[in-house]
Amino acid sequence: MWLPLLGLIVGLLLGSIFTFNIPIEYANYLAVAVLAGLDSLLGGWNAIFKRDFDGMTLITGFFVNTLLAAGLAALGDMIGIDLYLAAVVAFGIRIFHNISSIRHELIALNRKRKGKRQSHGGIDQS
Amino acid sequence: MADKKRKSIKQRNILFLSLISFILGVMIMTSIHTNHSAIAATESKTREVVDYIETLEAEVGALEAEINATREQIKALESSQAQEETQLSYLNSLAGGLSVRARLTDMEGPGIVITLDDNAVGAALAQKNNPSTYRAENYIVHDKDLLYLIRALSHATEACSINGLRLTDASSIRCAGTIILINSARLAPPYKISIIGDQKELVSALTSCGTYLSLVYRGIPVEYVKQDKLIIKAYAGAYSTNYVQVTDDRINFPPPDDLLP
Repeated sequence: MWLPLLGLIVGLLLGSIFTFNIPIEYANYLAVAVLAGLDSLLGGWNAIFKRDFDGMTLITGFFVNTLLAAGLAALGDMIGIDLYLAAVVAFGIRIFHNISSIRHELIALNRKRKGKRQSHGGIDQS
Repeated sequence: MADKKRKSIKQRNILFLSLISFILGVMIMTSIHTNHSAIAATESKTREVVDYIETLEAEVGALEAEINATREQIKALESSQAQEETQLSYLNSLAGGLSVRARLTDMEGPGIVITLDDNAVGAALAQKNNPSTYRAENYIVHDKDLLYLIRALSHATEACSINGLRLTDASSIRCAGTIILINSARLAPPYKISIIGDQKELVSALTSCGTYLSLVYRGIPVEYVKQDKLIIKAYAGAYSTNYVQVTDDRINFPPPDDLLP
């Protein structure tokens, strides 16, 4: 389970060592894409805790969401509407929702483990 | 078998998750770098704009200083021009005064006109009646008659001309045979002496002077007329100096020809 975290750290390190600069005018699109990616990742973790995870869904969701978010932001710029703000709000809500869900799952898991340990302890004592 | 498959799927899922995490990590850092670059570029542009504005402000300051200096120059020139105009005006009035003193301008004013002529009638009678005692010079106007007459009136004279020839301080009245030379010009009778001055004083001086009485005694036709507006022309001759030299080095004498009226 630590491998995804390791992947994230390696990605951050690589990204900071090899500085990939994109043109400044695309910075907003990349930021929205990052939000979409983060949403997908958290959604993946949420699915893992709910035992509903599917790798293909994650992969396709990640790429489609990031590209769609960046594309929407670009389209908004073209037609003169700040559509990237809509993406920021939407993905922001989803990110907080996913984090909340993960937190609940973690708490439930923790409680479940504690309950199991307590039941094992009772048997030992008896 | 089912466990093995489930394990394989789980490993694949973790691999996908790790891959996505890795990509997201790179994306996050790229986004951060891009934002930093954008901020740095904006700051650089801002600095450039600030530098440009400061340069422009310095240029504006220099131009303002230049404008002020030019204004001062214009003010100084205007002042200098006004001073020159004042000096020119003074010199003009001085030159005008000197022209009047040198009799180089036309003058007008009240005065008297004295007319003298040879006593032709008396001469003819004397020649006829007493040819032995007849002397022609007793019946003509001589240069000294004019000279004495003018001198007798000089104290009341401001401008004087004889037959239109202006008399100056350098004028001469001489005789050459039967004609009189004034300012080297030959005159013939009748002689018309125009004098501007106090009419009363002129008439008084004329009628009381010996020359006038002598002329009347000799029967020379002499008469005078008062005129309220008498015009006397300017002296048209030249002032020639051959021997005199000015001792004051500051005075440019003789003056250049173009300065003479």
